[in-house]
Amino acid sequence: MPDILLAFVGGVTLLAALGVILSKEAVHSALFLTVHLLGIGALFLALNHQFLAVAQMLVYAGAVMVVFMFAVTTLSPEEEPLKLTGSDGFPLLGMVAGLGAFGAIYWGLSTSGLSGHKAVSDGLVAPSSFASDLFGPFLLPFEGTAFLLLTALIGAVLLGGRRQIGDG
Amino acid sequence: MANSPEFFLVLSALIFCLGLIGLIIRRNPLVMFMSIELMLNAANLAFMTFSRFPPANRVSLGSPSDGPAFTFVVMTIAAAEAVVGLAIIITIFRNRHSVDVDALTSLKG
Repeated sequence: MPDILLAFVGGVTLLAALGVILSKEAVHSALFLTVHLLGIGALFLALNHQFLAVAQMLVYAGAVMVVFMFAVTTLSPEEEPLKLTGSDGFPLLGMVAGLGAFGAIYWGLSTSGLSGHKAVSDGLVAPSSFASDLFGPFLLPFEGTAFLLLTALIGAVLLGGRRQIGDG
Repeated sequence: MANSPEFFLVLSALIFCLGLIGLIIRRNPLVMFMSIELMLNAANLAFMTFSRFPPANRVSLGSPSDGPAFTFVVMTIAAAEAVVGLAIIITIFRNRHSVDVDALTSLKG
């Protein structure tokens, strides 16, 4: 991917992330999050991984965002005023925590000697090679995700049902 | 210039910190959930970056599919977390007709 296109995609992804946390209405946050997730998928493609780029767009920007949209429209769309100067002290704490975390991560990056990291290859990672790894050395985690999804499905059905547990 | 590990890692750090800020300053549980998704995606981006740009002495570091496999598991966990978390939020809304996280103090000691 050319440098200018990569910088553009990165900028859009970052601005969409900013939009998620600054939008007054939850619907706008959800739409910004969709843009952000598509941008992350494009960045995965720039990192030469086809399968996860497509999976990111299908699973995240598709399925998870549908669930979010459903929740946003089910809950009443009240406007939540953005309190940047509230009396509860959380905005200040948020800024301090965010800047502190970024400072810590940036310090870690700058002292860890990234110059020794070289790009492994220029070609795209074929889905078949990722599949043979996923069904080879990573078979146990892969089956674990299946169990996790089944558990989440049962939990969601249990929570979403009208009857409470033990009603008979 | 832009196609370097520094570009992706600084972007990932910025997205993670935006998610952290959003999680703390917002009071709407849906937006707090979206902020958690931002942080998970930032971690995924870092995983993929280190998979594409491994350190030079990668003898003891496993296969190049380590990062993508972690990303795959994180995506699954994020989907499960979103489904269960949103179901909990909707159940709370049904019972209390409010989604203000500051009002949920029933379990406060």
